Order: sequence, then structure tokens, then C-alpha cells
Amino acid sequence: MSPFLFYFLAGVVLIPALAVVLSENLFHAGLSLIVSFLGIAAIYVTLSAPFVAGMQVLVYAGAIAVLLLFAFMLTHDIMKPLQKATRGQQVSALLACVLLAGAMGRVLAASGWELSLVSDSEGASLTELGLAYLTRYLVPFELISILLLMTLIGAVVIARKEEHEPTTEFEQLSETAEEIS
Amino acid sequence: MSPDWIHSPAGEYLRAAVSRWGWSIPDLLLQLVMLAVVLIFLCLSALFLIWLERKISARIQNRMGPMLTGPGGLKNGSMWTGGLLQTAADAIKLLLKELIVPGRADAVPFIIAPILIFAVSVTAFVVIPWAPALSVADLNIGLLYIISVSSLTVLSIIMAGWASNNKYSLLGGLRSAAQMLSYEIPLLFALLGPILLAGTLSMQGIVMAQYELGVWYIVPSFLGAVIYYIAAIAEVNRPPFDIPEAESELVAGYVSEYSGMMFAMFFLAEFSNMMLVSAVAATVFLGGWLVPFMEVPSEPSLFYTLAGCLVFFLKMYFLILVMMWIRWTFPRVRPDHLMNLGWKFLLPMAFVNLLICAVVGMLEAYGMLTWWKVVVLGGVSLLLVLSGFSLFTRHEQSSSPSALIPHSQEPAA
Repeated sequence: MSPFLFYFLAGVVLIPALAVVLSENLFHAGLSLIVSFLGIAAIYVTLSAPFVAGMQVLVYAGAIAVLLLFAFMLTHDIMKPLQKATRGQQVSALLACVLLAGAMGRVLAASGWELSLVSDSEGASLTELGLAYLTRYLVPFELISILLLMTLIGAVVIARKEEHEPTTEFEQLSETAEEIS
Repeated sequence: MSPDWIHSPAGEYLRAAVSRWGWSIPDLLLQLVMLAVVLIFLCLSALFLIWLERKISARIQNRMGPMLTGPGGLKNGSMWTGGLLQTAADAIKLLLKELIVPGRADAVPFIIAPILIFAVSVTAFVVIPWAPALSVADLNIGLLYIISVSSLTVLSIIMAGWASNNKYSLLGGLRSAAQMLSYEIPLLFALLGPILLAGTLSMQGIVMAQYELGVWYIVPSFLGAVIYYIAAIAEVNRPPFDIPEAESELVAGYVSEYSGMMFAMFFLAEFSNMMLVSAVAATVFLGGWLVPFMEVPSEPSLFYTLAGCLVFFLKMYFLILVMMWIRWTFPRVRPDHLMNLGWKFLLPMAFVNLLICAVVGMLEAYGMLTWWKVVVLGGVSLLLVLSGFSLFTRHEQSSSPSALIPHSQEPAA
């Protein structure tokens, strides 16, 4: 990958990412987030990881960010400019950023930049990827699926109607009939 | 990822034709030429399909305009060529119209949305296998590429709905987001069965795998084909799943505020998305460019390339024609029925399809696959569709629409 391409893509990732944080319009922030995600996918392509790039577009840009926008559209008064962040919020955000940057820096410094896992210039084939998931990385793979299952069940529990709450017109009517009698 | 088709007869022919003028062209340029050919094909084909649809609907509903404009006599309108120029007249009209951005609209997303929706559907066409070794690029993640790129379509619809600053557009955008996100899941799971059988995501690879199996994947994965087709109609917002742009309640949904060429982009995108889902269905379930009862030559021959291309187009156009037929036959689906159909019927059926395909794949791997076993499994899946559908419709008929309305909004009994 030529350095120019990398810097260009880094710009595509970072400038919209700044816009996400600084934009006063939530909808624009959401759109910028998608551009940022697409830039990351492009970087994956240049790193010979087309499968990961496809998943990045499908899951992050195509599903998660779209759901975010969907939620924005349901929010009350979304067109009004946002309230300014208070000083306390700004300071705590800065602190969190510094802490995160420190933690990530430590991880990056500790990694030996071992890039020998994939030697093929076409990128890892799907077969290799699948085998790696089910052999070497089986435990993290299964842990992630358990995590996803828990989230799924949690979402169902939150979205579910209370049991005593009448769900259909018929049940409602029968309850009122019981009350009357 | 150097494309094989450059060394295929079509590519060689092109190279020879150019070298006759004393030039030699690099592979990249050839690839760009191919891309341009696909792009031109898309635009022309969309133009033709719009004409075809209007012609058919005009026949069915006995309308005058699309039957009479053009050659064949303005008075009588010939059966075939009458109305041929209607689309051209429409295109000229739309090109000449002013592009209006509503004063309180969010201008940038408003303008980007129609461009994005068409760009996305063109981009997805890159990996479609038109003939043996003939596609713009045969990526080894082909099918995943199509799915992930076309998942951005919903984004432009949301952008259009939001940026128009119009409540009908917003409602259309919301409905389409809900619908497209829900139907993407059965769509993906319906494709998983054939992917499992083929053992590859490459579009050319899927076609070749069907050749090696001996039957098209519609036989072992009949259930998957049906689910894919239904979900695909919902994905492209075609009737009977067109509630995001239901004209009787939402004006025109997310396209309400668009005029001129921006409106035309949405229109073009609808038709090219129709072509895209039909091309994918033709590739994955109907054997792509495989010509029935013909051996695929080991060395690509010009004859087979042309025959394969023709067969592919026939399959694709047949599927598009069925979509039009469905559109003019069925009434619009109610929103709650739409959601229930996706989540409670198509998704579980897609899991069953995955299981059936896994069984076929295992049988094949152990060399125990015979054609009658495939037919039996196909029959089982057909039975499952029919019984599942009858169960589902019975359940739907007994449920009342009020279950959808939140309690606070329900009228007091």
C-alpha cells in the first residue's frame, strides 16, 4: 500500500470522526460516522482482508449506523440545535479520551507488529478464516456468541410487554367485563 | 484479483480489435471499458424495463399513453412498438425539469441521497457473472460484497426521508428502514444454504459448483429460492411490499420532495436494484450462465460465452417479469403483516432451508448423493413451505391490527 493511499484513507476515517464529535446536528453526526466506517473498510481492503472489509460495511455501516439514524428519526425535537455540553461533561470526556488513548498506546507498544499470520497476497481465504475461528480461536469465538445471545435475550426482555397487560382488544374487553362483574 | 475474462475470448477479441489499429491496451483500461459497458447496459436496460413495465401495466389497465407514443401510428398504436418512445419522452422531460431543493431541507444529504442510491446499485454489479469468466471482477467474497454494498441502499432512503423535512418523507424513510433491516436477515439466511453447498462466496465459483453438482441450487434449496425472492421484492420496495412509498397514504414517501433528474435517479435505482436481485437469484439459484444440457468447455469458447450470456439474460428477465406480474396482481401488504411475515415465517423457514442444504452438502461430501435424494429433499422443503405458510396465514387472520398500536394511543373502549 502506498503511503499516499494510507494517509488519504486515514483522513477519510479521522475527519468524519471529528465531525461526529463536533457536529451540532445529530443526524449529520450519524452520517459522518458512516463515512468513517466506510473508510475503515477501505483500509481493511488495502490490508488484504476483504472479508473483514465486507463485514465492516455490512454490520457497522449497513446495520448499526442505520439503526442509530433510525433511532434519531424517532427522537423528539431532533431538528433543534443541541444544548451545549457543560464544562463538567467536557472535562470528563477529555479525561476518558486520555485514559483510552493511554490504554490503547500501551497495547500497541506491547504488540510486536507480528504480521506473519497471512502471507498470501490475496488475503486469507474464507476457509482459513473459518478454520481459525473453529480451532485456534474457538474459545473467544464461542464467548462472543454467548455475549450476543445474552444481548438478544436482554433486548427481548426489555421489549416484551408485561404479562398482566392486555395485548389485544379482546383481552382488554374481557378484563373490563371481569371488573364489571 | 486479475480478472480472467481479459484472457477469455471476449477479452482477446477486444484486444485484437484494438491492436489492429496499432495500439495495445493495458489490462486496467480493459477493465474500465468493461465497467463502462456494464454501466451503459444498466442505464439502457433500466430504460427498456421502465418501458416494458408501463407497456404491460397499460395493457392490463387499458391505458392510452404508454400504448400509443412512438412509431406504429399515433392513431391505432401497434401492438409491439406503440409506446416505445414514452420512456424517452419522460427522460427528456425529467432532464429539462428544474432541480428543486426545498427551502428548509437539509441540502447536502438531500442532494447526495439520489446519487448514492444509484451509485450503490451500480457498484454491486461489479461481481455479477455475465458469462464464463466474464465479470468486471471476480472477487472471492463476491456474494458478501453484493450484500454488504447493497445494505447501504437503506441509508440513502433514510437520508432522503430525513433531509426532505417533510413528514410524509420522514414516515416513508422510517418505514423503509424498518422493512429493509428486517428483510435483510431472511435474505441473507436464504443465501447461506447455497453458499454452504458451493463452499465459496465467489459468484463464478457458485455457478461452477452448480455445474459440478449437476442440478441448479433451486432443487436442493427450493425453500431458500422462495424466501430469497420474497425478501428481495421487499428489499427493493416493490409492490406488494411498497409501504415506504405507499402513494395512497404517504404521497410518494421519501421521494415526495424530489423533482427532475433527482427523482429519475431514484426511479433508475429501483429498476437497477430489481435487476441486481434478479441477477443474484439467477446466479445463485438458477445456475447463472449454465446452458441446460450443455457441457461447459474446459477452454472458454466464444460460442459458449455468447450462449451463456444469452441464457443468463433470459433467466434474469424472467425473474424481473415475474416481479412485474406480482406487482400488478397483489394488493399492498399491511405493515404489521409485513413484519410478521419477515420475522415469523421467512426467518424460521430460512433456518430449515439451511438445515436441508447442510444435509445435501454432507451427502455430497460422503459421495452418497443421488439425484432422487435431492428431489426428495426438494419435495420435503416444498411441503414445509406450504404447511408453514398455511399455519402462518391462519395465525395472521386471527391476530388483530390493534396489537401493533401502543396502549396509550388506543381509543378508550
